[in-house]
Amino acid sequence: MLTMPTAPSRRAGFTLIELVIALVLVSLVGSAIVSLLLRQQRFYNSTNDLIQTRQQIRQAAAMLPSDLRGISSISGDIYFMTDSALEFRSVFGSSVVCANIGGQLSTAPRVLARGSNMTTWIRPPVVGDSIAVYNDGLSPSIADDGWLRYRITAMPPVTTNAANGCPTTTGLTQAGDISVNNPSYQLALSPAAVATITVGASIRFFRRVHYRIYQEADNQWYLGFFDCLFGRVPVCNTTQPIAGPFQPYANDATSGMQFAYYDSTGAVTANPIRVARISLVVRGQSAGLVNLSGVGASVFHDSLRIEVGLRNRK
Amino acid sequence: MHRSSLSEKGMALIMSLGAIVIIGVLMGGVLFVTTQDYRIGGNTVRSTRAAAAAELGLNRVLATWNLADNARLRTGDTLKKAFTAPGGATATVIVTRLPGAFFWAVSEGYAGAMGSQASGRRRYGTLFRLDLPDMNILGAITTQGNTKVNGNVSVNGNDATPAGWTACGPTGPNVAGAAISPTTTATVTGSVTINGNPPSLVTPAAADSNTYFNYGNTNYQLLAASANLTYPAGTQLTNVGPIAAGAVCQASLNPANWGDPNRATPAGACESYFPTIHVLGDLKVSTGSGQGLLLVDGNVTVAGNFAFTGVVIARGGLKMSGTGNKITGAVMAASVDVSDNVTLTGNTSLQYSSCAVMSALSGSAYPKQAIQRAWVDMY
Repeated sequence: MLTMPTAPSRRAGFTLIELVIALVLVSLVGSAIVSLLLRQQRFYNSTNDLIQTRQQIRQAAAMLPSDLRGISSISGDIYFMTDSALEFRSVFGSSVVCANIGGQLSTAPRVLARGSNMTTWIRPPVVGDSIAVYNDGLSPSIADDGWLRYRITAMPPVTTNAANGCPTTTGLTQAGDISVNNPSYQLALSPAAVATITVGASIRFFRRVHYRIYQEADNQWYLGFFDCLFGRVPVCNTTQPIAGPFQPYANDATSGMQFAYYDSTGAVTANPIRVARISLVVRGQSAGLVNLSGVGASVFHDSLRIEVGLRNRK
Repeated sequence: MHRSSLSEKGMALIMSLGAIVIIGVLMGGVLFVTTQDYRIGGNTVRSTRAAAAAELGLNRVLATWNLADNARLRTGDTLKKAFTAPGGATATVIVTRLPGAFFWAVSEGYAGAMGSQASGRRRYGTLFRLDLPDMNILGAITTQGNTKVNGNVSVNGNDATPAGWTACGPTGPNVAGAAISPTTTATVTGSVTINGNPPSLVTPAAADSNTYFNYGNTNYQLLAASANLTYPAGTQLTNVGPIAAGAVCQASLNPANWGDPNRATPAGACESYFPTIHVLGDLKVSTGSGQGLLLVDGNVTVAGNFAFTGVVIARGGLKMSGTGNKITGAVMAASVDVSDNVTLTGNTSLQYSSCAVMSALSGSAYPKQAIQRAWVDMY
């Protein structure tokens, strides 16, 4: 029987040269991948920083105008104003007088079957908050009209169709409008409301608020906010950051937040009563270094300018 | 020759796959944050667009105001209007009538697909009030001309609500029955009843032309310029009355439709029509009825069976004769010429009514934003 000789088995393996070439290739590919990964990581972080910066600017730009538009400069709503801070009466709700009994004013309920919305607020008013009430005056013209200000000393709910709430006889409500879940509030005031405030008079709820750019404990600059409430201890709470970080405050065109005030002719004014427009520039900066191009890292800066025309200046 | 597959083992594929996964994750992260940023930007645009639409609604509701709504809307009644804003945004405005001369308007601006997440909504409210002329009404009749009253005449300055006018609020302060100038004479004979607080008032204000022609922010000329109906001098009218086509009141110069002072159930089409009527000289009218603001550059002659509810202001004198004449509201006769007298004879009644005065003045007044704190952000 013939047998074919089998070839000796050959073990697979690398020669030294192959190994060196492979190592070189692997290291080249690996370093390229690592480089790519690092770039991606850097791009991701930079993009994130950039977006965060813009988001903070947008946040400041979105919050402030809502509060500023309702300022009635002609009524003395602005307590003080600088290029870095603004303190004013901030309206957070409105309603309509349903009854004036002994100087206590009752509000319309929030939900009405007829679909009108006479009472609304961002948050419920509390004792210590203030109101402004429209006083029609004696003449039928607009000339002697005005707003009177009072402080709320108590505000018990009225949950039935009672005279001290918002009865259907006023014409403002219908049967079933008032309930435990949808009450009228009888506002006890200091001082008591004058008798010339009649049914249908408009009410504005407001509180003193303060916005400013300030430096926090982390040495970053933020848009800060606090409000003041009569009877609270302390009356004005501490400043809380609501947006940032921004560029540091400076008395020039680099400040992280810069208010400017203009009258109706467009001229800069320092008189709070004449303010017709408030210009706000917000300049943000990234918390870390941003390196999108890969050329070099730097702090990212962006800014936004907002012009707010005051709606209640006449 | 067969080679074992074991010889193809290596790290390159695994490393490549790993790198691709990591890069994919990072790219996904970048895509996520940029998408979020894009969405935030989109939301900002829609929110801004909605706010602009809400503002547009508040402005357009004034521009499209229907004067008939001044009288038609009762306290608590609502009026809904919709407007289209640029960029596909919409504004829905609900106007609520408040007591007196006030309206509360809430405008809701909407941008983006209705009900979807990619939409923005803002609400603004504004207090409007009718800018009414501030007339210095001193009595049921105020005049600086010589006055003769004779016959079965009633002049009453005690405030009263016109018959059937259920929408009126409580009556206001009483005024004088007749307010006359210190420099003129008043002759009263016959069965004359004069009531008021006081019944007769002699006051320099009745001799002041401002009383007759200047009304706060406006004046006689401005009111006349905005008249709905203008007649030439020497106009003589009879059978003045409401003219309606179905439920729609028809403005008509001659035959004259001066609105409908009678209140019925269901309401007549012209009950909410309070025209401002301007006559460029003398006017003579008999038979019929009307309501509103009557401005006459010359003398007014009411010759029988004519009832008017509202305000009558004559630059000249006033002559009422015959039976069934009644003016409810207020009359002012400036008597700019010495010969312009006030003569009330026959069966004539002048009754002061603050509600009639307010209704007449409201009927021709457009709303405007109330002062100082009218606008409010309702979020």
